[in-house]
Parts: sequence; structure tokens; C-alpha cells
Amino acid sequence: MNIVYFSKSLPVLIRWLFGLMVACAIVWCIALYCSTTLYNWEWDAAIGDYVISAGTIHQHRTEGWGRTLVGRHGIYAIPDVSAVKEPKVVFWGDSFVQGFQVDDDDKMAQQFTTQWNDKHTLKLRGLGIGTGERDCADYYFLMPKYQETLKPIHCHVIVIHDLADTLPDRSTTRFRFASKPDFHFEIDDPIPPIKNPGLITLARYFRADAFFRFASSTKNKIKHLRFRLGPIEQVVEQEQAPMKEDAQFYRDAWDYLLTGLTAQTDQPILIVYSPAVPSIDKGKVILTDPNAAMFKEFKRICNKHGAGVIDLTPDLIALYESSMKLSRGFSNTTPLEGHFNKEGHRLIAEAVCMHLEKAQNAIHSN
Amino acid sequence: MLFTQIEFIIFFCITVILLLSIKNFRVQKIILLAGSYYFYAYWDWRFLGLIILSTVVDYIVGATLHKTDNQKNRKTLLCISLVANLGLLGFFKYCNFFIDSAALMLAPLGFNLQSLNIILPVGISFYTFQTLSYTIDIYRKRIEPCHDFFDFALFVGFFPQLVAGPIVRAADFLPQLKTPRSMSWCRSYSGGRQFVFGLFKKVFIADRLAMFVDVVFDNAGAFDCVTTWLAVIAYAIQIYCDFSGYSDMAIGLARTMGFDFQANFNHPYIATSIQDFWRRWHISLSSWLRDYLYISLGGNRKGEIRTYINLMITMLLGGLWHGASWTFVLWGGLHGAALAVNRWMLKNANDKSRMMIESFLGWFSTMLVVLISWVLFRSPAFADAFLMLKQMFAPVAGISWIHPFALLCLGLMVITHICHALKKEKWLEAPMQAWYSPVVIFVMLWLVLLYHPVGFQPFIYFQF
Repeated sequence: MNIVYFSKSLPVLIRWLFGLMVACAIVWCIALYCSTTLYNWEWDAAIGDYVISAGTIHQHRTEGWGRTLVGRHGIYAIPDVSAVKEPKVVFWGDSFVQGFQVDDDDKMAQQFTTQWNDKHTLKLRGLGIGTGERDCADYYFLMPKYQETLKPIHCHVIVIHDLADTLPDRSTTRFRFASKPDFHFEIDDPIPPIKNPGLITLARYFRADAFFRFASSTKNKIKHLRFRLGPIEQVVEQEQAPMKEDAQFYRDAWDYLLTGLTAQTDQPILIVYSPAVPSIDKGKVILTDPNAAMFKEFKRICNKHGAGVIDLTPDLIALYESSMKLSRGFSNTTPLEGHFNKEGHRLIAEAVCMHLEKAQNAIHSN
Repeated sequence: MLFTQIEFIIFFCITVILLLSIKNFRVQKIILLAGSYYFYAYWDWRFLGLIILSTVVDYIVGATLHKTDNQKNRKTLLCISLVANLGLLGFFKYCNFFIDSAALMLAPLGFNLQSLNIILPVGISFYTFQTLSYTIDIYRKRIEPCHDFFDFALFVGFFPQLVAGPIVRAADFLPQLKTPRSMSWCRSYSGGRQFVFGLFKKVFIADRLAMFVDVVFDNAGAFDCVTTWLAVIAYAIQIYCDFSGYSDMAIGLARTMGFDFQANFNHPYIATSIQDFWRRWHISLSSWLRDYLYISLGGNRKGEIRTYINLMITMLLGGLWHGASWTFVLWGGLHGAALAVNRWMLKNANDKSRMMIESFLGWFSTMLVVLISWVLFRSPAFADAFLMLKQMFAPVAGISWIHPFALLCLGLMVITHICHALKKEKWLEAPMQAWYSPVVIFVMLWLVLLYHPVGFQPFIYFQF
């Protein structure tokens, strides 16, 4: 092949370098608005766990379009919880309570505060403590620690969207609810280190979150490069073990869990169950919860231990049937799937408000 | 190997370095052939045998055809090529389709036919048509046979167009193998730019749109009228960006290495008639079908009725070429019928010149036919297609989902097509001397790198 070299290469090189720099600047500006930001973790001695660094402003774009301020002790939308003097309603949960997908004002705890304080003289303050992957074992261990920090507490609200989060041997965090040899709670030691804290801090400082994420994924791809000929063996990902069809096992597990949870606090515990209803399957909108029978049993055991239970299923169905609105999903992700949207947070806030009103009225009438 | 994989980028860089460092053109061609076979075997080495078999058969048939003047022998040789190529295609692509169709018909009589476990070799539809065109052109005495087996093997297996086209004709490609290719900065820029444009269309637009389109089509009937329409329009954009993106990448890669392919798309969504649409959509296939099927059937030389029949047969088979499913056949039939109506209207029009309003109506009706036909093309079964069409034209209440990215892509598509229609697209093409061209190219690259969807997204046309 005849190779024709460009004779005036220097001006061309400068033009391309200039182009690269301008392009980086343009994409950086786009990323400022359109990329999900990174966040760092810090060890919180009062809580005994990692929490997202206080003062972080997290912008979430991959699902929904939300902005979250992370305050002290990993509490969202409140910069310094020690400055809050009102009794608190603590919402416990995983990423569903974290609610990165919606703005702070739309999160369930903040909607609860607004709704409640608009109507009542006794002022309460809702606050959300949620981190992805957390389940009931985490609440068991963290509840007493937070209790000291958050005094006074009016009640604890545990938001459950999947009954699996109440069962043993499913924890993915340091805090575990195990069934073998007998039911017990345990903590994994030693505490795992945080990955790349310096690099993340640097990327956050320069607002280069998207570039950092790209570098990480490229590094991962380079690790898995393949140059040998195909066919390649298809690796079938192992699904999480299905829940055992053992009603007695569930009953015993829940009994142990509720005994433990209620022993950890003097305040009332309220459990909100918000299943993935409605769901969609091959074009059909399904308005029933496949775990309804299990939940009935769970509710019975909760009541036995004095924990209040709210089943949100009828509200979710009513919302869909009356207005075709959904509690999960966003315009930039699949409807009916994923985390709670603004409507989902609102429904939970309303249900908790109503429940607390009823409880208050019952106290007054007695 | 996908053009979007890091492995491919490394493979391509090594190939280009080897081409630049070796001066002997024949050795360069052998490197390209070896690289092309590696590219294919990377997916599955076992199917490399099919390409080599197809290459050997057509090379021998082509050479023998050229030497023979006896018409009967020539026909026999042509039949050998047709049977070998279409036999392979038929077995691998359509065997289960016919078994399943027969099973449906014979089930009431108590017969129970089982499907075979057959893997569809990637690109078989494309290289089959390519080798067939070579043999038919020699049969028609339009081209001379290729005398160098390695050249012919490179024509069949050249990696940029091997698995999803464009369908390259021997008359266009083989002459390029006779003289050393030039790899200049100018050609590299032009090829690289087209590759980046294609990459942007495929990864940034098509793959992201798939996340919306797939959900709506997989849940036909669950979404409301506006969402369904938006999903169908989004699919039209997705398949255009996916396939024309692949073609752009293939053309760009080939150009970088000194080879030229014909354009495969030319802004199809500004077509003002269905005939115009097929002059702009998958040009290498539509011209192949016209030259080797429609004209072979008699074209428009055997009377009016026969012309319409030929159009229908061509498009029905064209539909079947796209996929072994009755939905594709109906898709082809719909386009065939539209082409026939278009032809009839043109024949009966008194004034051939078109007013603005007529052009608009022509564009509107063409888009309507194209969009309806995409519903058939995308739906896994007739029942799903029917549900989608029902929600489009006789809607009932459903979930509303207006995906912002689909709206953004629709806007981009409208702007680029309008610019093309008004002949104001030069600035969009990032010409080499323009100061902003490097900026445009790097912005596109960055957007692809930073915002590519997670997970494997194969090219839609790989399945054909």
C-alpha cells in the first residue's frame, strides 16, 4: 500500500489536540448535569458502621433524576441531625428508603414531615436511614446505636419491599441474620476497607465522576480481554436460592427476628410492606402479590410481638386503577420496576401519617 | 467479534500496523484474509468451514462457467452454485422455520414434529448473497472470473462487511484487489470519521433506545396509545441507527485500509414514496434483490400484472431473507403491496411533477406504511403485532411512558433529515479542514465511552 504522509503535520496535530481539549470540556459540562456522581464512605464511630461522607451532595441520573444531601451519620436531607429537637420518626430501609432517585423534598421521610406537621400540633420530624443492600439484620444492629444519637425518637418505621429481606442467610452486608446452627445475629469482622477513597475524592473534587467510572469499567474490561477463538462457554449466572417452601421455618425465623428487633428499642416499631404490585409480565398488568399468603403470616407474627403493620398493596392497586399512576419506575427506566418514585414515597408517607394519627386518637380516646 | 469491543480495536490496530509495515501487496492481502478468518472464527471457528466451502464452490463454478459456452452446461453450473449456497442458507436459517410451520399444520392430524438444534451462522445471509452475485454476474457475462483464489477468498471474507454487510458486489470489489491500496491521512481521516459516526449511532443512540423499545414491544398492549406510537417511532430510529451505524463502521474501516464500499443508507426517512424509501434503505440489499431476483423473474418486461406479481415475490422473499418467521414475510408482503400501489399510482398520474403538498402527503403515507411494517418486523409474533397496532389505532387505557431519550433522538433525527433535505448538511459531516471537526469527533467518542449502556448489545442485523 502506498502510504501518503501528511506533510504539514504540526498544525494538524495542534488542531487535534485543541479539539480534544475542547471536547473534554464540553463533555465535562454535559456530565456535570447528566451523570450520577460518586460518593465516598467514612467510618462513623458513633454508629459503628460506614456511612456516606457527611456533606455529600449526590446527583442520581441512571434511574430517576434526583438530588440528595447526605447529612451526619448517613441521614438524608438533614445536614446535622443533632440540631433537630422534635421527636423523630425514623424510616429504616435499603436503597428504597435512601431514595436517591428523587429529590430530598420528595423522599418519604420529608413528605411525612410536611404532611404530619401541616395537620398536627405535635411536631414530628421524619428522617430516612437507608443504604443499598441493607436488611433486617442491619436494622437490628444499628437501631440501638442510632437511638442514642437521635433522641428523642417517636417511632421506628421499617420499610420492606421484599419479604426476603426479613429472612435469614440472605444478608450481603457485615450484619447477618443466620439460621445455622440456630437462629442468631452476627457481625462480620474485620471491617472491610473502603476501595479507592483517594481517587474518588479526587474525582469528586474535579467533578470528573463520569470519567472515573469510565476508567474503572475499562480497567475491568481489560482484565477480561479474550483473543482465543470461539465458541465461548456461556457462563450461566447462578440465581439466588429460591425461598424455601417451609412455613414453619419462616414462622420461627420471623418470631426470632421480631423478638430481637422489639428488644432493641423501647419505641414502637411500625412495618410498612410495599410489594412490587402492580407488576407486568408479557403485556399483562398483574395486580396481585405472589407473596400475599406469606405476608399474612408475617403480619400475624409482627402483631404478636406488638409491631404495627401497614400493607400498602391495596393503596398501590388503587393508585394504578384510579389514575394509571405507578409507585415504581421513572421515565428514564422501566415503569413498574426499580425503586419508588415520588408517588411511591408519597403513599408510604401518607400511610404512616394515617397510622400514627389512628394511634394518637386511640391514646386520646382512652 | 463486534466493532464495539476493545478486542476488535486492538485487532484492527495490529492489522493496520502490519499493512503499513509490509510493502508487498500480495502479502498484505494474505494478511487481510488471515485477519478476516480470525475475525470470523473469534465468534465460532467451526463455521469458518462454511465460508471456505462457499468460497471454493463459487471460485470453481465461476472459473468453469467462464470457460464453457454450452448453455446447458452453464445452467447446470449456475444451479450447482445456487443449490450449494441456498442449500446452506436454507438448512441453517430456514430448516426450523419450515419444520415449525409444518408442525403447526400437521398437529391436528396427530403428527408431532420436533425442531432441530441448529445454530445460525453469523453473516450467512450476507456472504451467501455476495458469492451468488459473483456467479450470476459471470453467468450473465458481466464480469470476468477472479483468477486468484486468495483474492476471491478475500472478497467473500473481508472482515468489515463479513457479518452484516453491506453486500459488496464482485464488480466493485475485485478490481480493487488488482492495484495496491493507498492509505493516506485523508482516507484515514475520512474512514475514521465515518467509523466514529457509526459508533455513535449504534452505541449512543440505538443501544440506549433499545432499553425503551424492548420493554414496550415485549409488553405489547400494556402501554397507552402515545407510548406505543413513541416506541414504534423509536424502533424506526433504533433499527436505522443500528444498521446504518454498522454500515458506516464497515465502510469507514474499509476506507481506512484503502478499500471503497458503496453507501448503504441515504436518509431513508425523508423518502416521499415507498419506491424512494427502498432507494435509500439498505441500498446494497435492495439493489441486489432488484438485479438478481426481480429482473430474473422478468422485472417489468412481461406486462403490468406480472410486474406487480414480480414485485410481490421479490419483497416476500426479501422479507424472508431478513428472518425465518411469518412476521418477516408479512413485512415483505406489506412493502411489496405498497410498491405495487406506488407503481400503479405513478403510472396513472397525469402530471409527473409534484407539488409541495403532494410531497408531504407522499412522505406522510410512506412513513405510515414504514412504521406499521416495523411493528411486524419487531414483534415476536402476530398476536403481539396485532396488540401493538390496536393500541396505535384503536387504543384502550394503558401505562404512559414518555421516555425523554426517545424524544431527544426523535429531535436529532428530524434535524439531520431536514438538513439533508435542505442540502445544509455539510457542517454536520465534520469536513477535514473545518476547525471544529476534531471537536465533533472527540465529543461523539467521549459520549459513546461515558454513556454506553451496560451489557451486551449485539447488532440487530447479526440475526439475519
